[in-house]
Amino acid sequence: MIPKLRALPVRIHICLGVLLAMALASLLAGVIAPHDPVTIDIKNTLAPMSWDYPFGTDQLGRCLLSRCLYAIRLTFGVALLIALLTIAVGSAIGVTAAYLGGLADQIVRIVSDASLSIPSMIFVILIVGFLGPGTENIILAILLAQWVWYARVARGLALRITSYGYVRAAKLSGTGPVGIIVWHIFPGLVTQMVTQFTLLIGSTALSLAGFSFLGLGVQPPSAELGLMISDGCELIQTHAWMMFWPSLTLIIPVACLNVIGDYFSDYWRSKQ
Amino acid sequence: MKGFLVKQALLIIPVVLLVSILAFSLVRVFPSDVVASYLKGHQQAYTPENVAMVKAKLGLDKPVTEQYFDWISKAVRFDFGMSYYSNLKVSDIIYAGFLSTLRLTGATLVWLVIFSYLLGFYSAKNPDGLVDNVSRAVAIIGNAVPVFVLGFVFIQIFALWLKLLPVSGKLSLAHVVLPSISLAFGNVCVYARMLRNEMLDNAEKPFVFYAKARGLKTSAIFKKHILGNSLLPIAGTAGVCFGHLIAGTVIVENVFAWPGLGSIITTAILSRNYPVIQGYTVCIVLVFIIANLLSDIFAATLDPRIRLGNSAG
Repeated sequence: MIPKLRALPVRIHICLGVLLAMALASLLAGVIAPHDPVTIDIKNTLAPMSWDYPFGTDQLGRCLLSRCLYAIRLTFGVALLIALLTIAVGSAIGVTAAYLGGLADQIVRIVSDASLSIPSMIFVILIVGFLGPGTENIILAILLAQWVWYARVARGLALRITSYGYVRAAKLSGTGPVGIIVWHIFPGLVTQMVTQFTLLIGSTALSLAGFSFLGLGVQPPSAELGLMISDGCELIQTHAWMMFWPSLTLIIPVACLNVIGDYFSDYWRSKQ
Repeated sequence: MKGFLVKQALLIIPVVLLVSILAFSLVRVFPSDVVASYLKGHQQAYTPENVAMVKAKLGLDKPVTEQYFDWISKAVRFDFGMSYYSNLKVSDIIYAGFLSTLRLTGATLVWLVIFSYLLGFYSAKNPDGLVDNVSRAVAIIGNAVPVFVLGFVFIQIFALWLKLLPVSGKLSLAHVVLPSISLAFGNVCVYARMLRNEMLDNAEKPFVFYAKARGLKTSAIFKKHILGNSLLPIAGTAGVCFGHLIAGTVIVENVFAWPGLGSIITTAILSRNYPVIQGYTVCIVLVFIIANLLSDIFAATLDPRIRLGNSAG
């Protein structure tokens, strides 16, 4: 079912390579980053690009390259966590609702209809308004705003799978509800959910950076891409690179993830 | 149709009730926080006497049910109290913000319709041609570039280098151009692709063959038969589109210092200005409920299949 690596088009190879390189660089940030990402050096503020500081320094003299490396880890690490939780919570609830039916299904349907009537960005704002800004709160808020979409997708798929003969056969042979959900329904969701997951990491990274940019997400002095862009935009007229590098660091992986996600969703659609 | 609308309208009541309880409980869950931010906003010291005074003034010492009924009886008249940080009524702040957000959204909608139509139509007319490839590339970029980066790129190019357009400060027509284009960009990518795909799907339908067999001109077939049928499903997403635009304004307004609802709520959250957060919560949920209702009506008037209640969904 899964396409062979060599059969993939060149653009997917390029995107995978770029993602792998960026992931490695950020994971090894502790080793390869030339400077500490949060140490303030007042004597060396807004330094231009040089061998010592390949991306230059920011308004507090912090090395931008080192900050970008650590920021990939933070932004995309948190985005990965949120995307994973979203997909896991969404499919668990969706599948359970579809399998149980009745009241449980009705409740999930009403809750999802009600929360889908508000765009998730506004939903996140409302939750953050309630809980206050901060990294944990933004993770919770994005999770609460997003799971519904995936619960709906999972519910639809699970309803179809439940009607298949092999699920009925498993029921007749005495498999319990947990066994059926885990062994017979979940495997049918995997391809769809993995594709959704790829697209979700990118969009979650963008919204996380967006909320940090607004001051509602990750708080300074952490190296986070949205925060760095927000620092940079104040000095855009004189020191445009302060905004250029973190923006590029955010855009490139998201574009790669989108290209890969689009390719796979087309691929699965053509397989069906 | 009537039954459908009545059902949708009746659904509003429990949702509004639930939201009002949530918005109200905001103040109840963190009472010490509320007192602290009230005192900070009024530049008073955090002393026991002041705390007691504020608690009495905001009614935090009364039983919860009494507090809720006090609050809700005012909230139904859109009276959410005074902002902690200025001498303005929350309802006035939100009303003014809503009007400027609406102005921004309206301008964005104009760009959105014009560019989605042009890009989508010409991409579909000549698939894999120049316009199609350009709009495909733009769509990939548009999906990856966050609107706050795009906004600054536009500021840099059009306001600082070319000095064509002003950045921020006033609500004039020239000032709305850059924020609305930034906001429209990502959405144009989505809708242009949607229109193109829809048109290419429709181009293979029997009614197009029939039109061709009748010897109609290709341009007439495109304009009348293909485009007309392709606009229908897109018009059906008007509610979703409106939601996206309003959500997008939050960031765009902050980038361009546009004094709309997005700027207001961000400032309110950062300064813990509770009455404004409460008022915003209730109002924005109302706006979305009404918008969804209107877009349902809109879709139903356009498409008889929905109106007669045998749509596939």
